[in-house]
Amino acid sequence: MMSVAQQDRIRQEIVIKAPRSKVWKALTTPAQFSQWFRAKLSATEFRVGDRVNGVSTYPGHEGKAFFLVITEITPETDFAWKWSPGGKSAESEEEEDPFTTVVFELEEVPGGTRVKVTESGFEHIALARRASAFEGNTKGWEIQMKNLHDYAEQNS
Amino acid sequence: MARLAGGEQLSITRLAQGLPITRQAVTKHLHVLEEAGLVSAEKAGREQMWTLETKSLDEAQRCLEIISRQWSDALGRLKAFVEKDNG
Repeated sequence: MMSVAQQDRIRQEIVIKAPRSKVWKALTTPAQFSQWFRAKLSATEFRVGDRVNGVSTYPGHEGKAFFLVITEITPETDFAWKWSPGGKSAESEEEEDPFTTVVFELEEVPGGTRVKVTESGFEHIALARRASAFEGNTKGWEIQMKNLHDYAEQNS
Repeated sequence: MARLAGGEQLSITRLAQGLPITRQAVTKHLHVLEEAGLVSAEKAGREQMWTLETKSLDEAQRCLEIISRQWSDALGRLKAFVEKDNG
């Protein structure tokens, strides 16, 4: 059985056929980040400690607000932020949601750059909200979650 | 959690048996899990009986799979973006 601890983080990686400096730029230049991440950002530069507001341009999700708090920038190596997409604080500065942390790690490999992304801290957040934050078919997902919830309640 | 995975209802006494932590610590842990919807308690006489909410676990697992796929897609878009622009 999978333990709660094991479910606390998600890790994904990919090898990109490009020099590390180029990948780093795509990752840490807001104008470039916006394009592949599919969001409009309030910043023209990422700096540690800054809160960067974002609006999703994800198809089916346009206009949804979120924000990042940049926590680490180690040139061409590590880029990290904390956030709470789908959380209440995306809409209001007064609300404080628990954060998850996203860390990108870059590493030179033969033929390109390996990018690892790790998101952790899921034990503190409402998972369904986080999962639906960038999900194209949010409505369908929310209905599914509600069905599942009702089913669980009826059968408990 | 592993002790509850068999699907039976267990009391604190049974759950804490042989563990190097106190019953109070086990109870505290169970209440955290209860708040997360992962276990539930039912009164049976003077004791609370604890059950694993497998559906919540499945639900949590599915959410994590969705988030995982979102990251996989995002990395794919980053790769396409960087490689397209590489010429």
